[in-house]
Amino acid sequence: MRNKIYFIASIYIAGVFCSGFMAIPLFAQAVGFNDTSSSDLVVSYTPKNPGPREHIEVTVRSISADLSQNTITWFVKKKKITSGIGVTSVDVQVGEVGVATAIDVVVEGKNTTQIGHIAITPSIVDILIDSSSYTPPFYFGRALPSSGARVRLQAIPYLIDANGHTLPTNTLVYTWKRNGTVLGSLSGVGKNILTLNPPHLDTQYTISVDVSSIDRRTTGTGNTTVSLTDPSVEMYVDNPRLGILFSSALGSQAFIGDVESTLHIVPYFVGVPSPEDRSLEYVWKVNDALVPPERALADNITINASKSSGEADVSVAVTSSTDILLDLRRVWNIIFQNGGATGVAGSKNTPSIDPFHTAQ
Amino acid sequence: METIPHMKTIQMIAIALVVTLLGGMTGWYVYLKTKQTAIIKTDQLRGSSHTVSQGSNVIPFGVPQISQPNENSATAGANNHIVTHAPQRLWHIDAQPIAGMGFASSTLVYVLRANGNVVVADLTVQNTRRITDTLFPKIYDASIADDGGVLERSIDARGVTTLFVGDIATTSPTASDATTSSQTILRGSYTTPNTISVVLNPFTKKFLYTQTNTAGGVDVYIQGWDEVKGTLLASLPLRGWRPYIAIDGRMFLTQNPADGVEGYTYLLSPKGVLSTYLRNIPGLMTVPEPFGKGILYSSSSGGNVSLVVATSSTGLLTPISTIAEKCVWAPGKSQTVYCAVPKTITSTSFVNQWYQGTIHTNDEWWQIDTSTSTRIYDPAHDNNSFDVERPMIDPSGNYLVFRNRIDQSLWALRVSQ
Repeated sequence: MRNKIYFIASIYIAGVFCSGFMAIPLFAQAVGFNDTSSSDLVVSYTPKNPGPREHIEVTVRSISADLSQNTITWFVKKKKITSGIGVTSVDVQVGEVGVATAIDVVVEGKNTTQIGHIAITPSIVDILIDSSSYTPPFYFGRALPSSGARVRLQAIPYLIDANGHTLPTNTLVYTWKRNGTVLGSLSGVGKNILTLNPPHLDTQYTISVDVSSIDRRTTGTGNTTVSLTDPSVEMYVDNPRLGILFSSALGSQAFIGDVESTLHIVPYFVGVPSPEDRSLEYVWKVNDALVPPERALADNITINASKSSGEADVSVAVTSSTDILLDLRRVWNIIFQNGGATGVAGSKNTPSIDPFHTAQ
Repeated sequence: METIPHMKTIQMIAIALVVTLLGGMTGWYVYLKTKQTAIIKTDQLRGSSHTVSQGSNVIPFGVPQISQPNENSATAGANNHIVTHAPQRLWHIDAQPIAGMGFASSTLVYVLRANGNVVVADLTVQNTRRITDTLFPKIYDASIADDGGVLERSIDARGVTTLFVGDIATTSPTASDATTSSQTILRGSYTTPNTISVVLNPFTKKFLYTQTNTAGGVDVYIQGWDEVKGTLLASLPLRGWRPYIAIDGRMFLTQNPADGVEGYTYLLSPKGVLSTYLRNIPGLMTVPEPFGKGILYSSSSGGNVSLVVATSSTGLLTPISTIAEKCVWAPGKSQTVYCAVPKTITSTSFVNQWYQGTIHTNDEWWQIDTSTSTRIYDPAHDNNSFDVERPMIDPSGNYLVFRNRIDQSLWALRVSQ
C-alpha cells in the first residue's frame, strides 16, 4: 500500500514538473461548505478534506423530496459536465491549493427548478517529523523516533481564505490529536509545533492536526504516522590516523588488519544527546571476561591482540538509567592480524594493558 | 732549470686539490641524495604517497596547476602517480582514504583524510601531486572552491566538529627555489565550530551550514569565506536538514532521509523564507541541477528505491533503482544525469543501513536521459567493485570522479569508451 502511495506520489510529482509548476502540495484539506442557493438542496462532497487535483464525489439531495426522478445537470467552473435523470452525484477533480473549484447543480422537477452551488478551495497541512535521538557526527540520515527519545512534529499549513490571502501560520488555531484523542494542553493558537516527550509506549501511533482560521471559515487537516524504531548499536574502527571509519561498520564477524585497534560503538537512535551521556551504562566483555569499567571508555575500547590467538569475542551491553526500555546487546567476533595475547586498554589514549594476564 | 722541479710540485699540488675538490663534491652529492631519500621516506611514513611539487610553478595565481609529465618528472617523481602507458578508462586516483574533492577551475583537487594535505590530479594524463604539507589530522569532510580554497571538517577531542577554511599559499620564490624543494602551506583559520552539516558554493565561496540552537532545533547560516561569523537565515524547530547551495545561489533544505519516512525539500530565500519544493516523499534525497534547471530526487521505502529526474519541462520517473546521492548532473545538459546504480538492493531499509555503513553496494554507471537509460560502465569488466559516493563530474563532462565508500579511495572514470 505504501509503495502504491509512493508510486502515485512520484507520478504526481513528475506531473507537477511536466506542468512546469515546481511546488504543488499533494494532499490538501478542502475549504468549502454547502452554499446552495436553494434552501431545499444540500450539496456535499467526500472525502471531507480533498487534496489539490484530487478527485472528489459531489452529491446533491433534497431535504423535502426524492430527486431520483428529476433531471439533474452538473456544472464545474460554469461548464456542463453531465446531465440526466437521477444523477445525484458526480466525480469532480478539484484545483490547486488556494484555487476555488465552483460546482453548480441544476435540479429540474415537474414544476420547479432548483439550483445548488458549492465552491471547494483545497488547502494543505504538512506534518514534518523529527526526533532528538542520537546519531553520530557526519551522519546524513534522519534521527528516528525511539521509545526514549523526544519526538517533535511541525505542522506547516497552507490555508488560503476566500479573498485569496494566505493565512499566517502563527494566527491559526491548531488542534493536535494522538490516535484521535485531542491533546488539549498542546493545542491552541499558533501552536504549530508538537513535542512528545518519552517514554513512548506505543510502537506506532497516528498524529493529526486540525488547523483553522480564528473564525473557523478556513480549515485544513494533516495527519501522519509516527513509527518508533528500535535503537541499534554498530561498531566501527577508530583508526589512529584516519579517525572513526563511520562508512564501514564491522559485521558480526570481522577481520582487522592490525594487531591493536580501538573499536568505537554508536548507539543509534537512543534518547540521549551524546553516547557519553551519564545516563548510559556500557558493559564490555572480551572473550566472556568482564572488562572493568575503568578500562573501557564508554563508547570505545582498545584491544591489543599481540600475544594471543588473535581472535576475540567482543560484546557490549548498553542500558540507561532513565530509559528502562533500553537494552542493547551485541557481540562481534573479531580476528586481529598477527594475534598475540588479548589486551584491553581503557581508551585510545592509554597504553594497552592485559586484564586477563594472558600476556607473557 | 731550477724552476722545473718547482713547477712539478705546483702541478702535483694542483692535481691533488682538484681530486680533493671532486671527491668533496661527490661526497656532498651522495650526502644530499641520502638526505633526500630519507625525507621522502619520512614523508611516506607520515601518510603521504605523493611528493611535494617542485619549484615556483606550484600554484600560479592561486589555482593548482599540474605540469605535464615529461621524461624528467617520470624518472624523478617516483612517488608521483605517472603512467607511462595510454591512460586507462578507469583510474584509481588514490588508494588512500580521502575526505573530499572538487574542481578548482578544471583541475581535480582532493584532500587526504589522514593529514588534510591537498593533492591535485590531472585526469587526462593520470598524474597526481601533493601540493600542501600542512598537517590537519583526521579530516572527515572536505570541499574545494573554484579558486583552490579548501574547507576541511574534523572532530576535536571533545567530540565537537571543527571547521577550517583556508587557501593554498606558496612562500615567495627565491633563486634557490628553482633547484630545491619548495613546500606549500594551507593557510587559513578555524571558524564556526559545532556545525551539523555544511555545503559550499565553490564559485562564491559562501558556505551554508546548520548549527544546533538552544531551542532544540537548528539555525541555518550563510557565511563568506573570510567572514568570522555567519549570517543567520532561519531558525528551524527540527534538527535534521541537509543544505544545498546551487551555483546560481539558490539555497535548498531537504530533511535528512530515512526509509519509509516522508521527506520534504524547501527553497530557502536569502531572507530566510521557506517555500515548499518537494513534499511527502518517503526516503527523499535530492540533487538540484546546479543552474536551477531541474532537480533529481529519489525515494526509498521497504526496499523499493526509485529515481525521478525532473526539469522545468519534463518529469521522468526512471526505471533506475538508485538513490539521488549516487547521481550527478551532466554539465551543460539539463536533461542528462549520470548515476551509479547498485546491481542489487536487498535491504528493506537501504538508506538507513547505507548511511550507517552496515551495507555496501556494487555499482554500475548509467547515463539517464529523458527518454533512455544506458549502462555505460560495469566495473566487473575490470574485476572491480565500488560503492559510489560523492560523485562529481569535471566541467568538460568527460570524467566522472567518485569516492568508494568501502575504503574511501578516489576513482575516476572517463565517460566515453
